[in-house]
Amino acid sequence: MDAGSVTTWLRALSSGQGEVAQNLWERYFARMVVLARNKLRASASRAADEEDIALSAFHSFFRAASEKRFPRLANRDDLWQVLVVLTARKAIDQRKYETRQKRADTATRPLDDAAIDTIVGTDPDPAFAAMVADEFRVLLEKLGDEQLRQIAVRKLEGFTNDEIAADLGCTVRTVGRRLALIRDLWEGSSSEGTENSDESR
Amino acid sequence: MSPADPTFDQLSLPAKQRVDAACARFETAWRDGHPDLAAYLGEVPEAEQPALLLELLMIELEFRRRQGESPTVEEYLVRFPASEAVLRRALRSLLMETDPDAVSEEASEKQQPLPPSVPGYNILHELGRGGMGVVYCARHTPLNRVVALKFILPGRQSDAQQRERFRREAEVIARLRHPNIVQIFDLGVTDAGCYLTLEFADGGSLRQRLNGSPMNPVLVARLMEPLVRAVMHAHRHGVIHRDIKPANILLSISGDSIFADNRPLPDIYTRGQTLYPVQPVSLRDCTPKLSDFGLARLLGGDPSGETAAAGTPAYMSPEQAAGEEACTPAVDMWALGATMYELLTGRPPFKGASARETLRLVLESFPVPPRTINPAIPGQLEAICLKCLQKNPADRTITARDLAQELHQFLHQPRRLGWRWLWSAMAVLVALAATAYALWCSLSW
Repeated sequence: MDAGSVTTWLRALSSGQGEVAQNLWERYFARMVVLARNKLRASASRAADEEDIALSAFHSFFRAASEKRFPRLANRDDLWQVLVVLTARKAIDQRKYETRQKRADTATRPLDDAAIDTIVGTDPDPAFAAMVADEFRVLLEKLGDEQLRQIAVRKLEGFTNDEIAADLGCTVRTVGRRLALIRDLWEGSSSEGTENSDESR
Repeated sequence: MSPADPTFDQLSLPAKQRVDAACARFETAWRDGHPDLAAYLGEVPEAEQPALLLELLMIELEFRRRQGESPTVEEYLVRFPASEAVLRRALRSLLMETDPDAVSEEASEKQQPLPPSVPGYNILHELGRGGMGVVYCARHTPLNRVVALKFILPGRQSDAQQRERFRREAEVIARLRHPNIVQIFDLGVTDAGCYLTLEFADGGSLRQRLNGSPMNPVLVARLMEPLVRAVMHAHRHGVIHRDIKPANILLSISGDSIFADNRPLPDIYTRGQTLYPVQPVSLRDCTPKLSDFGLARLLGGDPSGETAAAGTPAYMSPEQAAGEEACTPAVDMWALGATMYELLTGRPPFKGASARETLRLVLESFPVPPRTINPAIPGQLEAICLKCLQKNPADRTITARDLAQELHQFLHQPRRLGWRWLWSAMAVLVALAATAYALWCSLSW
């Protein structure tokens, strides 16, 4: 299998080459996290960076990666996938905007796998990693609720739903339910402003 | 909830937020007591109530399980008579969390047909699905008794062959009456095909309890002895099982314990039929029951037209693996040995990368002695196990009666404490004395 990126990994996953895909993802994840963390640290140094939830989350992803505790590359519902794909979509939009090709219906167009693959790339590009970090900060702020944030960060750190439930003292069902809500909030927020939101799904 | 009702995942974002908020309040209320689930349903519009009910139910079941309670379908049916499908869905999800096997079944369930409707029975949920058939847990409404309904999946055999196969299986089980053999109650026909009504074992199968690690040898002997007596009973009545394996050994929790003392049953099982065991009950409290006589033959065998190489490769005797028409008690003795081997060591005696490879190993190689894998196995048990795993059926002279006796002797012999134990005890005493001395010194300062 050639290296490819997110969509290729997901395809490999569904064709039974899960281990290969997981290895590529782990390599990508580890490098992206280092890049994003450095970028965040540089940009947040003016403010009180200890309070920066995105920065501290990237610290913990970094720790997870250095302890070889990688999030499983699961499926399209996985929060990392959502985060990476949303960022890639934003990058595509920006590029299109810059070349004055932005179309009005960006929110409703289907996911363009090939375009996302070129943005995500086989190796994380520092500029893209920085975008992931920024997007993550924005998305966390969108969640509003503290428990939602905690669940999102722990899930991205590679903890299982059972572990998160035990950690936060809630039911496993609640972790699953709130993860579905987080995905909706994130995906909804990437297309906000152009839809009527209610009953649109 | 009808199939058309949306689940939480299918709701719109604002609806999700409403349901989530109601769930959050319900979960908070559970920390202080036992809130009334129904009181929360009205917090969302009617269209979202089925999804909310399922979520609330799942939260409540999780809390009640943690508290050692055993929720039943019935108690919820009384409160939500129109929501049987939600209750079943909650139960299925509960199974998903408890039993990894059920997850794969759940995943493929979308393509599977709905449970058949059988007059007189209320089908509760699916228990298992194999290559040949599907088994449901059902309530026999006239007698208000929970049973297992076994159907043969259509398509593999003609109707006539199916019926003949079922009739034979029913006849074989009906011959046998033993506390460690799953009983048969009825043989019936419905639009969905014919079915057997069997005793329901509420503890799942022994296979679900295997996790790849060795079990306590004494527990293995305690589980095996009644099973061997069940096989002895079958052999005495001319029945050869031919497919003994952990998946065909069911566990009954509410039945007699394998311990003959008068220990009271865990009280969760004395309050009516359980929805599902709240927590996995220790194997010590389970009664093993031999089930699935689908491949059984009468001694001396009627060749019956089916291929002789039926069974499960990892537990199949060499003569079955070679495709011989094997209809002797020795076939079952091998399978008992293979099962015991797996319980003792954590893996079956022969396991290849494929079924073909496993069969080749069964035919050609010798099993690794159990004590090589787990030195804690007593030599006597290893010897018993290997007697059953003699390649040549002519050398496998051990009978079910011999095996039962040997296991009984093993279990009832007085245990001697060896020198090793004495040394360990002395080491502990010395360590204690040293600690006490050190403590005394530090205090006297």
